[in-house]
Amino acid sequence: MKILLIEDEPTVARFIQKGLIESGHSVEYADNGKHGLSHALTAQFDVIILDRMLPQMDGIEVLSSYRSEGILTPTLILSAKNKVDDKVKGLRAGADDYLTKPFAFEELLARIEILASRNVPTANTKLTLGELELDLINRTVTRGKEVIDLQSKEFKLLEYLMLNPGKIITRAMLLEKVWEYNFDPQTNVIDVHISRLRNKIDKGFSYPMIETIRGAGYMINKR
Amino acid sequence: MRAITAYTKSSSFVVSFFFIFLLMLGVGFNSYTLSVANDDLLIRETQAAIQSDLGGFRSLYNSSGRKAVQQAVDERVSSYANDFLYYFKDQQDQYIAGNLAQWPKDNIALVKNGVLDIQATLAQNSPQKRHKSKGTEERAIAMIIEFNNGDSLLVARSVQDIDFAVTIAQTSSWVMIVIVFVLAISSLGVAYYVVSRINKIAETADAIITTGNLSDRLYVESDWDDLSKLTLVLNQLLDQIEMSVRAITAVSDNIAHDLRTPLTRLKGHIEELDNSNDKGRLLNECDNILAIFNSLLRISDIESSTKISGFSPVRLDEIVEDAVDLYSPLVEAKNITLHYEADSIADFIGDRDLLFQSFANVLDNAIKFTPDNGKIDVKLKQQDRQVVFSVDDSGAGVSAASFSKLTQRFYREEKSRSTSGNGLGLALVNAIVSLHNGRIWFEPSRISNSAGLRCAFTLVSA
Repeated sequence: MKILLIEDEPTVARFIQKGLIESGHSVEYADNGKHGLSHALTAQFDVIILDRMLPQMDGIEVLSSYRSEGILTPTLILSAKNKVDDKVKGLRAGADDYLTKPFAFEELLARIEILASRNVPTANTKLTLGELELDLINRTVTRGKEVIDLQSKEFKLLEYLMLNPGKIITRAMLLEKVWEYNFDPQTNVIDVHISRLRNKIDKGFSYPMIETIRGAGYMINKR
Repeated sequence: MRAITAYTKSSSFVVSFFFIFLLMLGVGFNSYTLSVANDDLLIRETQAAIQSDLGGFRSLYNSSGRKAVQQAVDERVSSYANDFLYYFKDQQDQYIAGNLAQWPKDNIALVKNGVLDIQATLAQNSPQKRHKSKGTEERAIAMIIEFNNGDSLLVARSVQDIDFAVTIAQTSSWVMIVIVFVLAISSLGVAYYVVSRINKIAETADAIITTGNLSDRLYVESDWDDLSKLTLVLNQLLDQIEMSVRAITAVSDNIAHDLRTPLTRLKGHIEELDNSNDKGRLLNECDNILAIFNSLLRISDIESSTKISGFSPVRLDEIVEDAVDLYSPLVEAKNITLHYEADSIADFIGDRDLLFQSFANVLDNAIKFTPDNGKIDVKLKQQDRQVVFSVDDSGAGVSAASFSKLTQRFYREEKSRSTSGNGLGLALVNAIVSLHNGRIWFEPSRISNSAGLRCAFTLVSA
């Protein structure tokens, strides 16, 4: 994947760049808003990581500039500010995701990979993964021939996992997408929800579909 | 420090009352001596002078007769320094000598022991010094002596001066009473002013202690008096304390911040290790440390943030319900009976994510410390302008001495050290509650027959 990183803090930039390269991505790096914008306007990228606070040109300005030029590259905004209005501003200017510093690198990586695959919107009313089928209209789930009865949060959990098969979904992402809160659980409450979901969709079947990725989150796989 | 509620317990009021009492005592004594005692004394003195004069005349008359007395009276009258009044007459009321215009007829009152209170008029030809009173009546004290052959001598002395002195004394007494009255009122006013200003200082200090908001300052009205200077000095003290506390927090934040990168690298190295048994444990430890650092940074981030940014109208009861919903698997796993009751609270202005975090942390604690088959009560109530959120549990509880320490960073009770957690959860709640102008407190649980803890906090819509 080709990623553009616009970040002024050298230590943070180095940390992200190194991690991305180690994960097999190629990274172009700009340390201020103006350079970042010219990169975004001249080359094609799969994802842009954009810092909110930049010298010379603010992150939001950079984003709205290239969006107005018709460049729709998925963009994740990084911000040191844990403020809702900042987030709203960023999303309004056309950002696709938002991550506040401090963050774990796994979190960033998971989000970028989801962003890059988001270009194909699902018009389907049914999600299918191997023998697992989720009907978004009737709100039913079947695995093989068995109908599985899920509670509404369990359904939303599975829906989000199935929208991103084979990709790591972090606990914070689940909280954000399923519960719609950006918060930091003190305990393993998400794990308990996942284990309840597993009890319903994996227990008694020949192989498990939901996999735990240690230190990162969860992933749903075909096989 | 507590505000002074009863003004009588303030030293300035006690001192004021004491001085007012002393002043009144002084003025009372002064008035008494001037108006009553002096009056009597002067009259008695006058009487004695008249009496001795009369005694002289009596012996002169007895030894030398009328002529000698007439001569003596004339001599006295012609003397400029004399201030006695005389009227010497014979049996037929014929004038013989003296400086009075006439024998007093009306307005004669007997005082006592033959002393008369008369209105006397000085004769026009009198050479005496009191020119002004010539021809006009003045009050005088008089005594009369009758000699053997029917001659009578009246000796009098004007008490106009004494009257005047008494009037002055009375007036001055009144003036002093008025002064004391004014002094009393103004000193009570000053005492009230001082006490109310001290109360203001005490209230602010109290607020700083209860909310822990070190950026609060005492109100400075002016800078001319001692109390304002004290206020300024106390404010400087607060500045210093705030700076030191900030410096300490900044240092710990920097440590947390700077250690995060090497820790992440360390985690990467562990990840690269061949799959050994220790790998999972090491990774978990790394994650725990990273989580602590992140929590610390989050708390200081919230503590330093300004109130309005990030706030939007939210439905509080829905947020509480979501938190209860999120934790329901944990509640069910321990077979806990959770009772949930919430007033419908729409249009609360606050930070949705942070509010959720605060409810979740308190719930999380309650579930963690409640044994299997226990009870938890969750309540959200609108009380006037503020909202009260409370969670009662039927766990082992916390000793009352530790209540105030529960919101300190890294504080964990001895008996809870074995459970999971890092002692930052309630510190985070405290920061969030302060951000929403609220207050957090702890009490024994209200669930009957339980030793559990009640955690409650207020929130105020921005």
